[in-house]
Formats: sequence, structure tokens, C-alpha cells
Amino acid sequence: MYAANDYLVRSDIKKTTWALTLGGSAIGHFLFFVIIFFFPGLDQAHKDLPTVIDIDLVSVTEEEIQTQTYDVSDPVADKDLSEIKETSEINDSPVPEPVEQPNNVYEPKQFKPLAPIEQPKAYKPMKPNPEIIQPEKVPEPAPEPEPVKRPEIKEIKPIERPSTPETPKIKRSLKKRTIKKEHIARNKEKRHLTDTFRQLQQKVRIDEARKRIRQVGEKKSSVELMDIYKAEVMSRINKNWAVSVQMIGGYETNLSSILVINIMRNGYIQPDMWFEKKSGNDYFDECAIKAVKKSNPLPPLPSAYLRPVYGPVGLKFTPSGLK
Amino acid sequence: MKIKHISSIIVSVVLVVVCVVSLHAQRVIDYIDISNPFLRKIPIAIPVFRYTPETSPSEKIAKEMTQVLSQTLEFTGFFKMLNEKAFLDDLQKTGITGSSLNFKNWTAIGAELLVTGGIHVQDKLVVVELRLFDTFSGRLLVGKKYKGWHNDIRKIVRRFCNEVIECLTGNKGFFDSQLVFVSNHSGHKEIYTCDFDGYNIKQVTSNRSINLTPSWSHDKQWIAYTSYARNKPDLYIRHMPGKKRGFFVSFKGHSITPAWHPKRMEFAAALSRPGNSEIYLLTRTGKIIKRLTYDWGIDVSPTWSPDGKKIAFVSNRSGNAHIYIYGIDSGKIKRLTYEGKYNVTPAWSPKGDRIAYCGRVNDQFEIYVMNVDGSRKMQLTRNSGNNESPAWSPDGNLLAFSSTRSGKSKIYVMTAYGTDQRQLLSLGGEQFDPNWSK
Repeated sequence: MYAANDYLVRSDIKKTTWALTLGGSAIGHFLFFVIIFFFPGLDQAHKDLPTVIDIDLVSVTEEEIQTQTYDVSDPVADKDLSEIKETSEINDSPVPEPVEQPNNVYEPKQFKPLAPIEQPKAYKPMKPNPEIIQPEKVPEPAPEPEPVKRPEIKEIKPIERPSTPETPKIKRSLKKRTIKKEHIARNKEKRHLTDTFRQLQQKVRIDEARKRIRQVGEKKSSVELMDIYKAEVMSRINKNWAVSVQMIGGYETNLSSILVINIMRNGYIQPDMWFEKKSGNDYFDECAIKAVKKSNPLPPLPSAYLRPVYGPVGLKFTPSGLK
Repeated sequence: MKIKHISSIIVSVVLVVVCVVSLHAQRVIDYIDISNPFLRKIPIAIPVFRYTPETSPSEKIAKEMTQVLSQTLEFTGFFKMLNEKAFLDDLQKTGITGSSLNFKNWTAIGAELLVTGGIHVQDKLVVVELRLFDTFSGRLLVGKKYKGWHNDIRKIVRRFCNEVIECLTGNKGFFDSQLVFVSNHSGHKEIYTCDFDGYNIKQVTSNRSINLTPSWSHDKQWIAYTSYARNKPDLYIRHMPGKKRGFFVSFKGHSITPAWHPKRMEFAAALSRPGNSEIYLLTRTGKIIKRLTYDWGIDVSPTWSPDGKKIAFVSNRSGNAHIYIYGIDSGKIKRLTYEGKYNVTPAWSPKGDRIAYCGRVNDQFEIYVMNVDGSRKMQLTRNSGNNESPAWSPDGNLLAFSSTRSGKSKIYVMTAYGTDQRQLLSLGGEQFDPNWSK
């Protein structure tokens, strides 16, 4: 400090140099901020924020669609009757637009797979069910001369709300048969129903997200590409994630952990993963790791993505979907 | 001079560029939200036990034991049993120890835990080895060897399950616990006990009268209950092994709803001695230690906090039946429920954080749980007949209750979050008032 002061005081010429240096630095800073301002993309702070859409998405492969629909069609037992009724009407109309409520959306698809041709494929993925469904399906077409779709729908109604007067053509025997079966397999079906609903909800969300991304337009190709990829990763890991509600202390917990991974071109996850943040519940963290391991390999990176490795990606595990 | 100026400007510009470039060059971290676990339980695989010698009787025992183990673990609500049709390995071929197992074949089907068992049958003795593995790390979590008679299978399995639960949760399992309940299938409301899973039903009373609200003491040696055996409701204390003499507790008016202290051989009960029903603390033999509540209203159905420092009870002091908490030492009373007009039979969770109770909505009785300060109320049953008298399992993870969903009142069990509701036992007649031992 002392020397600098001296230096300033001693010579006029050097004073101006000093002033100009200061000016230069000021301009430099100014430039810096201007650049930051006009090219926010360069600012890392912004990049840190998740560019992800904050939704649970599912990439729906054909198989899945089949299993979903097939699921919905049989576990008649305990679901809201209103929805099913609606579908019977929607059914005939061409492809209805996905509505906000996921429940309504799945309906149209529900009926397509009833056509006997597609069905067999659907059975493979889900093991426990076929016993329950097949018997139901087989008898239906035989006694009913009507198209296959109709009787299925009618059966559904009487089971849940016997009083509905709308469908006079109910076949008593069929109804009874199904009811019995349901009693036997009610639990299983319930479980499948809820699972299916969850899948369908996710599916609807992915569709919406895709739309939204398309609307945004801007950085279309790259953003959309990676966002869809991320959505696929999300759904894949969600699907493999098992957490005992009792072990984490109920549905309303605030646990959250961030597991960082790197994904290679072929979709394989590099073996070194680490926690950026732990939840404090060892069981919960372990479940996160297991979910990732089960999901390995993930879908391969999109070919338009040029780098050899995608990541580090932070997987933020929160059980908020339980609520 | 000018060169100096220019050079200083250049330097600062270069600095700026370097800063920006370095910022840009840093790797960007993306985040993906994973928030929706597909399965809310632990997927566990329990393949059929390996058996020696390879004869059909030993195969039968092995299969039966495997099934009992699956059912027992599934009862807790912690586990999702994987379908054995999906299994890629057969223990009979692979072996049951960590070194002989190929864990990849188990993780591939989604199992996070694996139980392997080996059973050796000699005459009427069975020697059983049971192991619990973490399929991802291949770690042995529990390994036990048991020896017993053929009919000890259930006992062996329960003992192993206790180990499993303790290993996973840190708390003891409840597989040694018992339920006591009232059933009228004999034509009279008599008291019965059964194991936690509904097996092994035993009749306790046979006085052909009306017996109600049984309660286990903390050491599982005694039950207290209300009986009309002498034409008015009095309390009876009975030694369960039956070796000691019981006690008969009678006061002027009625004496009902006994509840044992969680640590001492004392119990709280509602006596109408003073004119209206009030809660008293009594010794095991029925001597009054202290009167706990003083109010013009009716006070009944006490339940203890696990530390024994508070009781929750039902009172109509506000005009309707609601649940209150009373501090034994402080003497302070706090009202917990305000909703509806009828909230009864509180049951304090052994974990201490929740109170389950029965409330009436639209002329239907439903089970609720709430925090001990009355917050976070949650309805656990709905649209399924009347659901009454909740009772906690000793680990606080399950609730037993009575329900009329299938017509007559039966005992049901569900998790503390209302999931996995199922009927516990199928007896004729009606069953109600379950109470779960420690």
C-alpha cells in the first residue's frame, strides 16, 4: 500500500496511467456483465437448475401399452364406476384427446386390446394375471353375438353398482361367474389396478410434456431430445424403485437424496456413482442405489447427442409420489 | 503511454474472456426427479427350501415350511413376495449358501432380499438352516440353524421371522404376540385368544354371559376384561397360563374398559362409583390407587401412552363423545378431536406418536389415526361397513380392528397407513374388541 501511494503521488504521468488502468478494468467488468446479461446460456448458475421438466414421465413402449390396457380391462372390482361408464360412450368415437384427468384418458386404449388378436402378447410381461383373465375372456365372445367390446363393458357395471338401470342386457350367468372370480382374486387385481393407474398417469404426463416442449419450440432439437431421454430414464428408474413405506416412516416423509451417475453411450451406467446428498435414512439411500442398479443399462443415448458420456446427472430421489 | 493504456485494456478483456470461458467449460450437472416408487414394499424371493433326503415326505415338509415363511413375512406388510414362477434358480440344484448362489439370477427378477432354506429330515426331527441375503451385495444378513419336531415348523419360522424383522428395522418382530378378542359363535360373548396370524384359537372364558373389552397386561401373563357374569358389568383379572388365582373387581355401579399400564402391574378403568363414569387407576388386585378424572361428564376407554405418563380417554364433557389426553403427573387435560359427534375407543400406538380411534361419519364407524396432539388426522377405512375398536400390533406397524364389511363383524388387520386390509380369522358368529399383546 505504502509503495503504491508513493508511486501515485510522485508522478503525474503515472497517475494518468493508473487512472486508465482503473478505467480499463471498469470497462472489462462492464463487458463481463454485458456478456453475462446477453448470453445467459454461458452463466453456469442457470445451468445448475434442472433443465428437466418436473414430471414423472414414461416412455411407452408397445409392450407397456398392451400390459396397461390389458390390466385395466379386467380388474373390474373396485374402481370408480363413473369412469368406466364414460368410456363406454367414448369408446365408439375415434381417438379422444387426452384430458387432464388421467383416468379418462386410458379408456379408449382399454378397449382396443380387447380384440382377441393383440392380446396374447400382453400376457407375457405380467405373470400372475393370466389365470384370472383368460377364463373371463374366453366365455364372453361365445354367448354374446354382439361385438366383443360391448359385453365387456356391461359386465363391468353391474359388479360395482348393481342398481344401474342403463344396461338391460346383462347376462346373469356371466356376471355371477365374474363376481366369483373377483372375490378370489380381488387383492391381486386391486394391486394391478393401482399400478396401472400410476403407469397411465405417467403416460399422460409424458404426452403433455412432449406437447409442451414442442410448443416451447426454441431450442427444439437438443432440448427436446435430452428431455425425452431424461423422461425415459426417470420412468425406468421409477419402475425399478421399491421402497417400503413402513421402513421410511409413512407416506408423508421429507426424505430426499441425490445420487450422481454418468451414462455411457450404450446406456450403461458407469460403476462409480456417488451421493451428492444423503437422506439420512440408510435404507432409503440403499433403495435408491438398488433402483439404479436394477435399471442398468438405461436406454442408449440418443444418436444426436454427441458426447460419449452423458453426465454427471443427479438423480433426485424423493418419495413425494407416495402422497 | 498509450501503449500502456491499450495493454491494460487488453489484459482486462483477456481476463474477462478467460473467466467466461472457464465458466462455460465447467461440466453442467443435470437433475432428474425420481419421486414415484413403483413398489411400496421390499421385493423378496423365497424359493422352496432345499431338502434332504430327496424323498416326497421331506419335499412336502419343505414346501409347507416355505409357504408358512412366506405368509408370515407377508403378514407384516413390509414385503412383496415375488412369484416363484419367475425364479431362475432352484435351491435343490444350486445350494443355499452365499458362495453357491448366483445373486445375479435373483436381482434380475427384481428381488432385493432372498431367503434360502435347507431342511434335513431325520425320522421325526427336522434340522433347518435359514439365511437371509441382500441380493445386491450378496451379504448374509441373518443365518440361523434350528432343530425341532415336525410340528414345530411354525415356531421355527416365527423365530426366524423375528430375526429378519429385527435385522431390517432394528425393532423386534411381533411374531410371538397374541390377540385377545370377543366372539359369540358359541351363542355367548366369550373371550378367545389367538396367535398374531389368527392361528391357534383358544377359548378363555366360558361363563355363558357377556364378556367384553379384554386387555393384555404388559408381561402377557394377565388379561383384564369386563363381564356381566354377576348381572352387572364388573372387572375380572385372569392369569393366562392359569396357574395363579384371578381377581374379581366390583364396585358400586359399573366397572368397565380396563387398560393395563405399559410397564407396571396396574391398570386404568372406568368406574361409575362416584355417580358418573370416571377413570381410576387400580392395582392388579383391584384396589384403587387414585382417581384420575374429575368431571360431570362420562369418562371411559382409557389407553396408555407407551411411557405410562399419559392416558387418552373418551369423554362427553363437551356434550358429544370426544377424545382427550390426561397427563398423570401434570393433571392437565387436552382435547384432541373436534370433528363429528362421536369419537371413541382410542388406542395409543406403541411407538408413541399416533393414536388410532373410531369415529362416526354419516352413520358409519370408521377408523382414524392422528398425532398425539390431534394433528394430521387420517382416515384409514372407508366405504366398507362399520369399522371399530382399533388395536395396535406391538411394533406399531399394524392395526387390528373389527369390521362389518362382509356382513357380520369380523376381525381384520391392516397396516398403520390403512393398506393391506384383510380378514384375520374366520370363525362363525361375530368377533370384535381385539386387543394385541406385547
